[in-house]
Amino acid sequence: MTKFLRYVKRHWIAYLMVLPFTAGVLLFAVYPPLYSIVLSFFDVYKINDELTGFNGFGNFAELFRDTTFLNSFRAMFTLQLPRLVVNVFVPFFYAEIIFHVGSKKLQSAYRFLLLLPIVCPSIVTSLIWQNIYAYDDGILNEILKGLGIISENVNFLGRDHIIGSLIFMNFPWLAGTSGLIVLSGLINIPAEVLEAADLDGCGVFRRIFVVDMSYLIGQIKYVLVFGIINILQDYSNQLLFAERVGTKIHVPAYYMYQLVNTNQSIGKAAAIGVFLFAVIMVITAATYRLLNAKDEENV
Amino acid sequence: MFERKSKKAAQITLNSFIIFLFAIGLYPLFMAVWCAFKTPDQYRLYKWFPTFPLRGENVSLAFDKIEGYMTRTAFVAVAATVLMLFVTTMAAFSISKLKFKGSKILFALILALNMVPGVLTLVPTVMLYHTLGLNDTLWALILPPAFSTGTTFLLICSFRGLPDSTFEAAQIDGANDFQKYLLIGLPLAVPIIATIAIMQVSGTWGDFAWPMLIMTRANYTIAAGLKTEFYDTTVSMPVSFAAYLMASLPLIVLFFFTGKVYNEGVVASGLKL
Repeated sequence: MTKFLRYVKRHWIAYLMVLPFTAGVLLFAVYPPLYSIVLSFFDVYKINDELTGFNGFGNFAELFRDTTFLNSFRAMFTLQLPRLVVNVFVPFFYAEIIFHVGSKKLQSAYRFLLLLPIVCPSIVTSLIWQNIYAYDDGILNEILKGLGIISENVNFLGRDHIIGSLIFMNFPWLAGTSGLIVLSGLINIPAEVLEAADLDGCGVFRRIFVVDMSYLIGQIKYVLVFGIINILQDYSNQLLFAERVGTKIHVPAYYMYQLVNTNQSIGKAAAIGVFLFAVIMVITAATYRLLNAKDEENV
Repeated sequence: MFERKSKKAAQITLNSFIIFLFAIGLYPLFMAVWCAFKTPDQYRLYKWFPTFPLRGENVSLAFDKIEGYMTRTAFVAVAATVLMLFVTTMAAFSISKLKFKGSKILFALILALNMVPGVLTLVPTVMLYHTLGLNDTLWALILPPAFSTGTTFLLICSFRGLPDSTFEAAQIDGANDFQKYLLIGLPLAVPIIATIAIMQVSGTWGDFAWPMLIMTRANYTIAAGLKTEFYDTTVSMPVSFAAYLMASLPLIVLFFFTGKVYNEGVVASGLKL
């Protein structure tokens, strides 16, 4: 006991320094996900309701009979998978082209410009893209007509085209922070390695896929894993874009947000959260396995 | 000689290609700027390019509507960032450099919590703030970043990169744990701290989903305010754009002064992956 007291006496400052964080994390980060799992088994309706009415897997059973929910999963895959491909591929694309710029001055200017879209509120981007896609005087319709690709205006914001429009929103997807992260990995490849590849007659594309990729495995993991986690629970486009143009596309996370926001079926909303969490976990674990297997091959 | 020429040609092609992409990518930004100074007729007819004369009236019309949101958001952004930096840097330094019993468990907890997605926590978090009576108070916006495990993880990674010998020397000179943090740890971590602060300010500035869920309309921050006052209504488009432009102005100023630091911070943290 005295030994313990002496230890605490010597380290009390360190303990005091983590105390606010630890207390906050226990309350605001550990408790909510655990409670979410509990909640998903109860038939709670409103936010301020008591935790009564144990429901077993009732909420989950209800979800799988709910056509809005089932359709939202299909929408999630048709909309978010292509966006994931974009989010993963495009940062590499920008990192590579900027890396190959010879002038250091231009290179740092590009790095700055790459981040510039961060200052643009997502509301503004969304609004401008609604104008670009507009049926009556949208610039996309005008351009496509001018090029002779279409002869009549296309309703890009209607049910038939909205998913494609959302995928191509923000084209050419200036890559922001992830682009910079990948670029930092590229800059870090030893110059000798690149010279050796050059001397061995390795072409640009071969070098990108063989040399660069193996040095970038850490960044690839980061971009891919966080891309998956983020995109499976992203509903910003639903809140901003789809609501305003009047073509609703439910994705599961958006459905959950709606249930909470309108204060109904809280238990069901929690069940969506738990189910989505399970899906995200499985996909993330699979990605990790795949990447680690690749990693070992390269070694 | 011939090779150098073809290399130069390749560079010119590459640069033109990049500039072309950036021009398209940044076009919405520029469009937002010139649309803010148009009359309704100019907007209807020529929204795709700038026109003259500029209509400055839009700005004052918009400013009256967003002033309240702006001051509230500025307060929340500063308060949230200061509290967050205080709590997370202390914890991160303690966990990474002071090595007390339990620090490994805490680190493992942080790693595990990093994997928990927002969808799992949204519902109970809303309920928790209601139970604590913090819904519709500014605390609901200021508190959450302080307990962000992602931020703390980033800080732990960068504190770990600092040499232990510096801190051992300080200890021999009689510095206690808090002095090691305040006088040595913090100054050495300024680049990553600045990066995190910028991310937090722009995060508070741009977030609308959480404020709309936890606050009533009278207490919205700027992004939620813009959405309800302009985006979801039929207010004249040029006035709306003027509002968006003014609302982004603080971020634009922040970015121009700190863009370089942010850039370097991202690169430095990217290298640790």
